[in-house]
Amino acid sequence: MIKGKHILVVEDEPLVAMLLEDMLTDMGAHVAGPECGFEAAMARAEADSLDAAVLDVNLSGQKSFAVADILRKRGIPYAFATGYGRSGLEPGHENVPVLVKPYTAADVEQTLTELLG
Amino acid sequence: MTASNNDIAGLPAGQAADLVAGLGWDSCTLGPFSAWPAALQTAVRMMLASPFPMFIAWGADMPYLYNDACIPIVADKHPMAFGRPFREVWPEAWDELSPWLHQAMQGKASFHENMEVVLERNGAPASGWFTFAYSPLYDDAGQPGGVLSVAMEGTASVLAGKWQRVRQALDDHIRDLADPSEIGMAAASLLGEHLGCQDCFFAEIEQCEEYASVASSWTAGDGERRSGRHSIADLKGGGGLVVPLLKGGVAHVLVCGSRMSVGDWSDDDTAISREIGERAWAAIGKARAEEAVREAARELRLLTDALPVLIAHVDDDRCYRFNNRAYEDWFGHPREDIPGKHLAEVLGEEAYAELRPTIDRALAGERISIEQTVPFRSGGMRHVITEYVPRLNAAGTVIGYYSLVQDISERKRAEEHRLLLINELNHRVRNTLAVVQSLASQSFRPDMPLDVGRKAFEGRLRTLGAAHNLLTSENWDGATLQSVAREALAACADPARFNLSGPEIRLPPQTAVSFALALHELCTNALKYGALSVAGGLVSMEWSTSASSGPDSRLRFQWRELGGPPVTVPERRGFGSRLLETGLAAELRGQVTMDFSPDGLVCTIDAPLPAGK
Repeated sequence: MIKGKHILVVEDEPLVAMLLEDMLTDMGAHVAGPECGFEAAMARAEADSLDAAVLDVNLSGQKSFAVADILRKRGIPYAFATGYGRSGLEPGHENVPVLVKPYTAADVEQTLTELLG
Repeated sequence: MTASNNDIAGLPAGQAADLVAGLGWDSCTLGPFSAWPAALQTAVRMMLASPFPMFIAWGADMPYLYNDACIPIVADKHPMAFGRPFREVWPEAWDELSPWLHQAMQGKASFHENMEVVLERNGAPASGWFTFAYSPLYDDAGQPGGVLSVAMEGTASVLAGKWQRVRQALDDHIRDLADPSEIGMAAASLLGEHLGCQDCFFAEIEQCEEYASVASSWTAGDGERRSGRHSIADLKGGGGLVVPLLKGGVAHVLVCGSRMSVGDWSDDDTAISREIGERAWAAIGKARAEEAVREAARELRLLTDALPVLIAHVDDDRCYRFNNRAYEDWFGHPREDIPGKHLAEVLGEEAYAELRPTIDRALAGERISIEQTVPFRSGGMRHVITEYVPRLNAAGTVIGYYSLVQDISERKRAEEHRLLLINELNHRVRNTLAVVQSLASQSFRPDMPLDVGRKAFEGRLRTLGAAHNLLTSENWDGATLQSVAREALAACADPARFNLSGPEIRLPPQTAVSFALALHELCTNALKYGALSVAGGLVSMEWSTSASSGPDSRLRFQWRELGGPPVTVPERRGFGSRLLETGLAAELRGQVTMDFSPDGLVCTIDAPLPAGK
């Protein structure tokens, strides 16, 4: 199901981004990004051809909710990846799946399967 | 008229008549009544019958004959004085009265209104005031033979008048005085002058009842004033006037006076001293109580002004009665603007309307503790806890309330900040765990022996730990590129083989961690394959910033290996290359290039200058 899908990865911590990239690559997905900056993430969310996205909430102090809004408008499913857990989410995003750091490849696979299903 | 118990026909009954009947040659120069000239007999009969005080003095010696109505004037000299020469009866008044007596004896009457005469009556000389007429009496031959005195003593009313004046003077003096010692001084000086004293003072009796302390002392002229403690026994034995004032039957103050001449003090002296003393001490007691109230108010203000709590006392008309400094500061009103004002005037109509239900409850007698968010006058909201404490009178009726307002905004802010910190800490720990997870994932590759992976993982974990240490020592504000480089290199190679040069550049925390891990990868690569794998090989790290400062300023960093074995381009792109070329480059939003030139590896970073603090 995940194989061949284009997944946007937005994560400001390079090592965590690398980990998620490896996990997704191992699952056979095509990774868009990883992007660690807000502007680059906005650009990809608007322009790229995407099947789903995993968004880090905090991008060097800037929240990624605007990126999520664009994805929702485009009908692209997404999940948040955050160390804050669900309590860090802004109103309007409460029902979005959350990957709580640190997460395993199995967590990622399950979440994406739900998103894509 | 009762029957006379004397046997002289025509004499009315009475003490004086009996004394007339008892006179003889041995007791009076006039001899017995029967030997008297007819004119004298007639005059005496008329006098004895009169209810008005009279006396008759007849002949050269002027024997003193008086009627019953005159007995109170004669006082304790009655009855010894009867029939004895006037001069012997009243020696103390002779000089003053004899000219008028002699004038009457020569046929000329005189009238005197309220004449002051010092008489020794009841054991002490004292002024008496008399209104009287001396008239001549004529003998059987029609010549002046004696004097008839018709007298009225006005001493009591004169004294009452004098007392009234002293009382009035005292009241006038102390009416506007608030200082207890000034009241005491005014009373002591008035009393001292009235009594003709040399000095006059009040002394308060101590609890032991043996000593008294001088409270207010007056002296005539510029004599030395009394002061200090005195034994009560000494005061009483000093010959001066000592009048105790009683409170609840116990003496608490002594009114004392002394004159130059040691003499007796009259009952009037004692009475006026007591009267003035009691009036003065009533006023002093009141003044002291008022002073105590003022002192208590001062103390209350001092205490409440020092408290960081808004305190107000509001009465049942919803007007302020009291407020402390914190209250004025909060509302920005000067002190004189608040007491007496209605709540709505100080709080504002809107705030008053909002608080009104709570105030109604407090005025209904309920004690309330309430936490609220209220707008502050200079903008913004404040968190406050208010205690409403109903104020009851002795009968238990609510007559107002006290409000105690505590601004807990700072505490709230601190609580919120603490929650934020806990949340942030949780986030960072989870993020760091994800980083460690990534390091593990990159270190333990399926194509690499486990011990090689473990060594690589330990080195990376140690570098991560060192970078965190560095940031912690800087309070997580960031770290300099220089210190990040030193920490990363010291962990895996001899610092002497590195040449570092560049200006001070501060990196934000996350960039510092990434930089440290990237340098660690370069270092381990140099140890395995590069310049540090042979003796004599060196690494140079140089960095600079572009001349222009501000948002366009750029960082240029170069890692250059020298003196190592010839370099070949690796077949596979390892974790180090990936972290540098992709991870660090993305984080720095710049370019990172790895040049595997045969002379030695050169890694170049060109990025916007990180905005470190």
